[in-house]
Amino acid sequence: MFAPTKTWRKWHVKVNQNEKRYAAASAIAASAVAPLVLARGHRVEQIPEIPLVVSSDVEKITKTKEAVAVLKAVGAHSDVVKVIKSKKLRAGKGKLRGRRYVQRRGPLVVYGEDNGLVKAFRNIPGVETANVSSLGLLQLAPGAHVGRFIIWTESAFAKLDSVWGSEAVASSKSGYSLPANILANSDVTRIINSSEIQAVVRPAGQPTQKRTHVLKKNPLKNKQVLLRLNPYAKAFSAEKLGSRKVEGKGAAKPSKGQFEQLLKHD
Amino acid sequence: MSNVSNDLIWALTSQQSTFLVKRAAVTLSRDPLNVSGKNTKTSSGLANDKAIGISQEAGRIVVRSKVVKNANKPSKSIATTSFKQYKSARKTALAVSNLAKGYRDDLRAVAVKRASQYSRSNKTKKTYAPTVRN
Repeated sequence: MFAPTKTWRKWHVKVNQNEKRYAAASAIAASAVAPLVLARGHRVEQIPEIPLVVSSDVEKITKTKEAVAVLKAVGAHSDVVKVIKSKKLRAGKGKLRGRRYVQRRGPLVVYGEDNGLVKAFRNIPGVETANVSSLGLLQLAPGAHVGRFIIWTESAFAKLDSVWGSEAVASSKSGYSLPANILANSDVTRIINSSEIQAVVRPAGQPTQKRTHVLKKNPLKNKQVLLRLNPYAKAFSAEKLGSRKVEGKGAAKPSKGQFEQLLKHD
Repeated sequence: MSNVSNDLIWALTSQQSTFLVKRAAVTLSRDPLNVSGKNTKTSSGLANDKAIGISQEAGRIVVRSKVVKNANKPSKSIATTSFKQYKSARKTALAVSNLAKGYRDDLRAVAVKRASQYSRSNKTKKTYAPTVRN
């Protein structure tokens, strides 16, 4: 299979189309959640809002200088600074194989129509651009971690519904509809505290404390422990059942020879 | 208010996030809104609508907290209060305690403890010249 490289080697793993779309839709959703974008490591502390939507005029920008000015204006430039600072020599053989440096990912600029935007942004370290109708998972969730910092242009954001479909509009992907919620509310605390659940749960009992590290007591010697294990022990000892004679013992035994008589009957 | 439940955010960030510091025995958090530094749901700054963080920056003890209504507006989502590092440790502790009270009562004690540790770290110990016996 390996070494020397064979022509029949499969280089890609097939993933079902619906599965890929599911992942992309989830990644887009995650990019609108501030904690997830922060958790991915994007420096978004200065941006005014998540999701960040800028005017469609940005698509007409042709100069990188202006593009940088836009990023600075919306407070997204600190994410670019993070990328610039992060550039390091790659560890290992990748250096010799055309992948000399590693760096973090910056913002992803998603546009509806490219009127110069792509060329304006492409030389800013870490910044990537994508058309809203061809969003890829590698850009939406690099390293399989959702919450990419996305800067939408207004026209791209408006197009999202027609690309992915909504309740009112059909998706431009043929026969596709967005995955429905399995769980309408994933807030467990809210569910537990809801009146519907609280109405049917049993009332809270006495708080109990689990007693660990307690001395093991011998129930044969300690009467309280014995009673806890065997409540009948009280009656047993009070009535001296342990030393009582077996009832019926000493009563008339079958008379001698009766068995033999029975045996030899007729 | 965020449009996603905290339980979901915790499920996504408890194992992997930029703030986690994973070492052999422990996983700790560098989240500026995590007051205890532990990677737990209660102290997480990501998976709670309200969270507190205390740090020491440029000679000041800084208390950060999340503004609930601005959850989706990062530039406005953090309220900051700071105290001079040489302010009386008790006064700082009381101020921190009052900030946490009614906001995150469960984190109050931890917040006070951390603020006190910063105060203590800024104390300069009096030193005496070694006495020499003749």
